[in-house]
Order: sequence, then C-alpha cells, then structure tokens
Amino acid sequence: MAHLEIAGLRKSHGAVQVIAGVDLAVASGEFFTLLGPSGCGKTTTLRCIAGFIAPNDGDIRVDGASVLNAPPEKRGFGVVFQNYALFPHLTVAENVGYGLKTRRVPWEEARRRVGEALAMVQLFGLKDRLPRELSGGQQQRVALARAIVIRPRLLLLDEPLANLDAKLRHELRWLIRDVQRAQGTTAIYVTHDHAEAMALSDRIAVMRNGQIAQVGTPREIYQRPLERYVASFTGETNTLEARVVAEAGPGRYRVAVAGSELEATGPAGLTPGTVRHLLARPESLSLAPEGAAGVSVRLDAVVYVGAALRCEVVTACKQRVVLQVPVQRAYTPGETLSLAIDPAQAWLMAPGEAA
Amino acid sequence: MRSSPWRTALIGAPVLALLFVFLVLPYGEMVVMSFRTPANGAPYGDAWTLANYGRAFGDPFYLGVLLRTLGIGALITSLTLLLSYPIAMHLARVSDRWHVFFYACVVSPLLVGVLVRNFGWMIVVSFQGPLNQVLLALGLINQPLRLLFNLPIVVVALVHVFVPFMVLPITNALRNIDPSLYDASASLGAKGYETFWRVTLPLSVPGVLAGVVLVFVLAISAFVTPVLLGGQNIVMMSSIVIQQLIGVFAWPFGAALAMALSIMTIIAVSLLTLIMRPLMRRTARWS
Ligand SMILES: Nc1ncnc2c1ncn2[C@@H]1O[C@H](COP(=O)(O)OP(=O)(O)OP(=O)(O)O)[C@@H](O)[C@H]1O
Ligand SMILES: [Mg+2]
Repeated sequence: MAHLEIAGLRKSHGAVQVIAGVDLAVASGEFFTLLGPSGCGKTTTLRCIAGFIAPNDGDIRVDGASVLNAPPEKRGFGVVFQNYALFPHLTVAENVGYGLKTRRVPWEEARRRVGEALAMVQLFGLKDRLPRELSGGQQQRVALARAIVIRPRLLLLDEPLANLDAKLRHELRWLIRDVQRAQGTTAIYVTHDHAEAMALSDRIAVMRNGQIAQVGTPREIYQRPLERYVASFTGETNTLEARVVAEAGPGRYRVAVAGSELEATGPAGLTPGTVRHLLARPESLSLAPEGAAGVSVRLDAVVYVGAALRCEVVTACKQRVVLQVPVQRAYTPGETLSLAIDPAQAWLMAPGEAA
Repeated sequence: MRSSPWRTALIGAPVLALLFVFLVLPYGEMVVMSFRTPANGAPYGDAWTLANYGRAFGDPFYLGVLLRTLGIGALITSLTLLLSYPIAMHLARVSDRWHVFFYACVVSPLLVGVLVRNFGWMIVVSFQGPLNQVLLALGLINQPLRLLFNLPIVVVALVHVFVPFMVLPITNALRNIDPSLYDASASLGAKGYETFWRVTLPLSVPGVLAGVVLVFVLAISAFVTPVLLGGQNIVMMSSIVIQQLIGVFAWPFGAALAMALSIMTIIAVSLLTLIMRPLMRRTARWS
C-alpha cells in the first residue's frame, strides 16, 4: 500500500514532447486508470513510474519520497505488460517465483507464496507448464500472479487485456479487480477502453496529447465531463449547441437549444448569453409526440437493436442526435416528434473538439 | 498454404543430389578405405582389416595428436566464445544505422583469403616485424620476442578468423529476445548481472550452441594456419592426415585417422548437445 504523486512530469523523444506536464495524486489502495487514445502518452507515463525510462522533468513520489533516483529493480513495483513478457524458458511456477528469487526469499516460503499467488489467479494446476503451452488468458494470469507475488508497493498494468478476446477480457477484468482488492495494492491501470476503465476504476484520468484532460470518478467523467473531448472518449454522446438564458438555481440553468428552451445542469457561475455544449447521453433522451415539451425534431432513421430502438433525429438547426427508445411504440421515419432531455443528465460543458 | 510432400521433395531434390555426390559418396568411400589394407600402386588393397583403427587409437603418438587436436579445438572455441559474446551483445543492441558498420567489422576477417591472412600474421609477428618493433619502441621489451611457430599464435590467428562464426548466431539469438523481458526482470528486482544470468544467457543458448559447434568443427579441421604459423611445433590431426595421404601415400591409415577425428568430434558435439538439451527444449520457439 502506497500513495503516489506525480508532479510536472515531462518527457520528450527528440523534438516530440510525449508527456507535457502531468500532475497526478493517487491514494493508497486506489485503483487508478489512465485512459486515452493511442499515442497520448499512457505507456510512457507508466514506464516513467516503473523506472524503465527517465523523465526529462518533474518528480514521482511514492509515500512522499522521490523514486526518480532508484532504478526499476529498487522500486519494488509490480508490472504487468500488454504482451505478458513471461520468461519463455521458465515454467509458470518459476516465472511467478522470479521476483522472490531475486529477493532471496527462503525456498519454503517462496514455494508457499507462489502457490498462493497461482491459486489466486486460478492456475495452480498448470504450475509446471512453459508459457508457450498456455493460452493468452492463462499467460496473462501468470503475469498477474508474477507481479503480485512480490507484494508490490504499486501495481502497474499496461493494457493487460488488449490482446485477449472479449469474453476473456471480461473474465480477467474482474480477476484483476479482485486480486487488487484482496491485496489492497495501489494500482495504476492503462487502457484505451472506456468500458474497462469505468468498470474497474476508483478514479480515471483522461489523457490527451501528453496531458491530463480531466481526473475524476467514473461517474464524474461520464456524467460531468469538463469538455467534449472527455465526453466523446467515455461513451456515446450527443452534443447540442446551447445558449444560457437564465440561472434557474445553483448549477441549474435554462438554456436555448435549437429554438426551444429547456433545463440543464452545469458548472456554477455561467452567465446568461454564454454558449456551451450540451451533453446528452443517448439514455438520457426520450421521444414524445409532437407538441409535448422539448426540442422539436424530425425522425431520420430508426433501427431495431434488440433491447431498444435506436433512433436518429435531426433538430431544426440540422444537429443530429442519436438516442435509444423503448420498442413499444412504432415510429416512422420522417415524422415530427418532440425530444425531451432529463434535466439532471443534461450537462453543459466547455466547447471543444471531440476525440 | 501447405505444400504437398511431393512439392517439398522436388524443391529439395537438387540439394539432396549435390549432398549425395559431394558428401555421402566421398565419405562412404573414406569409411570403406579406412577398413582396407594398404597396397602398392593402388589406393588400397582388397583385404579388410581393423589394424588402421588399432594403430590410430593404440599408438600413443597418434592418440596424443588426436587428444591435443581436440584440446586445442576446445581452447579455441572457449576463447572465441568469451570474445564473441560481448561483441554479439553490442551488435544486438546497436541501432540499425550502425548495425551494418559493426556487422562489416565483425565479418572483415573472412574478407581476406586464408593464405594472405596467414602470411600477414607471419609478417606482423615475425622477429623483425612491426609488432616487435612497436613493443621495443614502447620499451615494453628489451629484445624481440619469438612469436611465431608456437601455440599462442596459432590460437590467436584461429580465434581471429572464427569470431564471425560465433558472433552471428549469438547476435541472432539475442535479437530474438523480447526486450520487455529485460524490463520485466528489472521490475521483479533483478540487477543487471542477474538479468544477464537468468534471462539473457539462457535465451541465447541456441545461438551459443550453434556457434560453438561451428567453431569447434572448424578449429579441429584447420590445416593452413597450424601448418604456416605453428610450423613443426604444433602438430594437429589434419596435418598428420595430409602427411599420411600425400607424404607417405598410406591412404587407408590416413582415412582411419580422419575417421577417428570425425568420431571424436561427433561424440564431443553429441555430449554437448545432450547436456544442453533440457535448456534447448525450453528455449525452442515451437514445441
Ligand atoms: N522511443 C520513442 N521514440 C520516439 N517516439 C516515441 C518513443 N516512444 C514513444 N514515442 C511516441 O510517444 C507517443 C506516446 O507513446 P505511448 O506509447 O506513451 O502512447 P500510448 O498512449 O501508450 O499509446 P497506445 O495506446 O497506442 O499504447 C507516441 O506518439 C509515440 O510515437
Ligand atoms: Mg501503450
């Protein structure tokens, strides 16, 4: 258990600044995720923490003490790699025991701890196999066991599930979470899969171009994104241009959207006249017959997706909105409807580019 | 796409024919010859005998030459390995731009023909040669050293030319190691030497074994260098065999000596492979 602070971290490869000033604080025992698109510097950040590369500037502190001068072998962090990085010439048990051997843990104790770690990832029966005799999912379990058996101060995971198929990804996701909980280890998890990040994390840092765009709980990131980039990276979004008309209460506003007025939530202190992006997740929208309260829209397309109907509607200002509605009612493309937005879930964010 | 066995056979046919004509036939002839009696005016007589082998393994002189040859081969192989491993590690690490340059440096001994190379050595290390001149000028020695016609110069010259045969397979093996294994090892608490001992070295064993076998076989069958640089003092099996074949025309006995060397080589290589087998099985890419 350890807490981690990163301050002003910078790293350049030649002229390219890959990490451009990252500040983070991760609490002890927290499951913290770095989420971002490919090339935004997630791996580089993680490698700086692990000590595989040295940052150009900034500090990394664990339990208050800088680790920058310690080589990776002195840091005592467990690392799980995307490609597993198992030692191909060592058996499963030898792989898991590797970190205990370098720590000169007595043989009997090492054997017991390897057994426990393998039991934890449900692999005890395979302890004498070589990595190449295992499936991808089994290999990643070994990699996880190898990283936790040393009781690391920090557990660093770089897209550990990226090479696995969807079913295994789900299974291993919970295994990782369970193991992390059971050990109480502080975990830094890197992924570009927002569903994975949402499901696993206590908090998420969304990264963009080597910087942190927003840090928050999955709920904050999803429901209260500060800007469109964050919203578009954490699930399906609709953004509608909205102008603040009046404040309707603390953090609540009346806004004008496509000629209609409706209520929305937003950060405190927006003055009337401000133009913002209104975030409306597909599940916060509903359709009502023409004339009901809401934004008047024309139904453009409707697709049956099993549990719901997926509708595409267009506002008077030619803004396209996607939403899901219950299957009970029949809809005909071309008809005019009224689009209602749950005020609690309609969120005003700063304008900006999508991811 | 899987090619049919016939196609595979067809592709392999020219090589097989070549191997048969230039390897299997001569070798077969030599094996037969080694069991024949000597004859005048013919390569060998009609009768069969084991006497040639009796002499090859029984006569202390020939047995001594055989063991010395194997010993010198082992010495040369070990020194080549010690010298080549760091070079291979460097070569495996350098960027692609420098790779070609270092590669050329490593292979350079092979760019010079065997006679030119050996005469070069003779000139460099001769009594009045440049090496002695430099050592004298530096005041490191008071009188020129006798560097030619002894074991060290033969070993040095052979190691020099065998280094590429060791470096290339080891480099290849090292380049095949996934670099994230080094990160993994470090993150698990291994210091540099531990990572080398537990990861780098075992995973390079296939390359080391290939290089060792290659260099050992080349070393014990070396002829020109031991003769030119070793003179009368360093007698290795290949020069004895040549002497029997060309000097005394004792073809059956020469063949038996050559066979004796081959047998010992096969035994040595098999033993080595057997010892390395558990590791090789683990480092094999496919089961
Ligand atoms: N050794 C290097 N030399 C030059 N550029 C590099 C190097 N390593 C990384 N980069 C660049 O730094 C940027 C960030 O790389 P990084 O691997 O951290 O991205 P990432 O967020 O992990 O992406 P992904 O999701 O694809 O793994 C990329 O644009 C990459 O091209
Ligand atoms: Mg990455």
